[in-house]
Amino acid sequence: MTIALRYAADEHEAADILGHAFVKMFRSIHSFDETKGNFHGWLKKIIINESLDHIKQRSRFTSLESGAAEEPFVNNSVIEKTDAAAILQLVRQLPPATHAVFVLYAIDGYTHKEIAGQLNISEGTSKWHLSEARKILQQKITAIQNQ
Amino acid sequence: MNNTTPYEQLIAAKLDQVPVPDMSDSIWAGIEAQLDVATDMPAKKPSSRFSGKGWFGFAGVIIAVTFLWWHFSHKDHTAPRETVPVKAEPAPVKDSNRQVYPAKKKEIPFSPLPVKKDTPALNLNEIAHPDSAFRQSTPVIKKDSPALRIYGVPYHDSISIAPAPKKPKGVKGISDDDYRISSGKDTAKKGN
Repeated sequence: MTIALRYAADEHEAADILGHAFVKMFRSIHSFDETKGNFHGWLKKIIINESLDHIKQRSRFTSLESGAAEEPFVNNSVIEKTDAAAILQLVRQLPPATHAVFVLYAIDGYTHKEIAGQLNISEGTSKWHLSEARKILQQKITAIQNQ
Repeated sequence: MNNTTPYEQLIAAKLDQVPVPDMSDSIWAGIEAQLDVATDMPAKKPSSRFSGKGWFGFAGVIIAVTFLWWHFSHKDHTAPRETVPVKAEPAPVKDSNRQVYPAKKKEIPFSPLPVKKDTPALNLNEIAHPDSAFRQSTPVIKKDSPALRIYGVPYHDSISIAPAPKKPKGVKGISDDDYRISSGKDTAKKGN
C-alpha cells in the first residue's frame, strides 16, 4: 500500500492500484519464478507497473530534453522536521509525469534508462522531469522553511 | 547510474513512514469482485453463444440463404429464354423445270465495239448473247450449303459458269467397228 500511495494522487487511487495489482498477481502467479527474485520484489514490480499505467492514463509524457541541470540546495533539517504525510503531499503536488519520474528515480532507485523504458520516453526527458521535480521541491521546502 | 541527493534519501525515508489508511476491507472486496468477474466470464461465453435470440438469427440466415439459392436455381431453369428472332426458313425447293431468277440484272444496252481495220474479223453471230455468263443456267445451291445459311433464300450463283463440254476421247476417225475382234487373226496366231 505504501508503494501505491507514493504514485497515486490520493488514497482512493492507491486502493484502486493495489486492487488491480493483486488481481494481476493472482492471475499470473503461475509465472512467478523464484530463481529470478523474491516474491516481495515481484509484487513490488507489479504494483509499480500498475501505478505507472494509472499515471499514463491521466497524463501525457511529452518529449522534453534537459539542459545542464544544476543541483538545487535544500536544507535537510527542514525535511527531517516535516511530517511524512506533508512530504507526501509535497510530492503529490508535482505534475503527474514529473511526480512519476521523481518517485521512480529518487525513491524506488530506478535509473534514467529504466525509467525511459517504463514510460516510453527518452532518457533526456526523464532527466528533465527529475530536474523539474527537484526545482519545484526546493521551492516548496524553502517556502516551508520560511514559514 | 542512480545518483540521489541526500535530501531525496531523506524524502524516501519519510515516505516509508507514511501511515497506511485502513482500507483493507474495501481493497479485498474490489479484488474479489474483479476475480469473480474474471471467473464468470469464460463460463458465460459458451452458453450465450447458442442460446436465446442467437438461434433465431442463425436459423433466419440459413433460411434466407436456402431460399435465395432455390430461387436463383429455379429461375435459371424456368425463365423463358431470350427469344432470338429466327429467320423464316424458306420452303424446300421442289424439283421443277422453272428457272428461278433471284435478282434482275440491269440490262446494259449493247453496242458493238468498233472493229479496227488491222484486227482479225470477228463473227458476232456466233456469240449467242454478249453477256453469255448471265444466260447460262447455274446450279441451285443446295439447302444445306453455307450460302443458304447466310442469304436465307436459294441463291443462284450467276457468276459461276457451267463446265465446258467434255472433249471427245480417242483418235479422230476411228469408230467402234475398228475395235471389233476378228477371229481370223486369233486363229492365225494359234497356228504359230
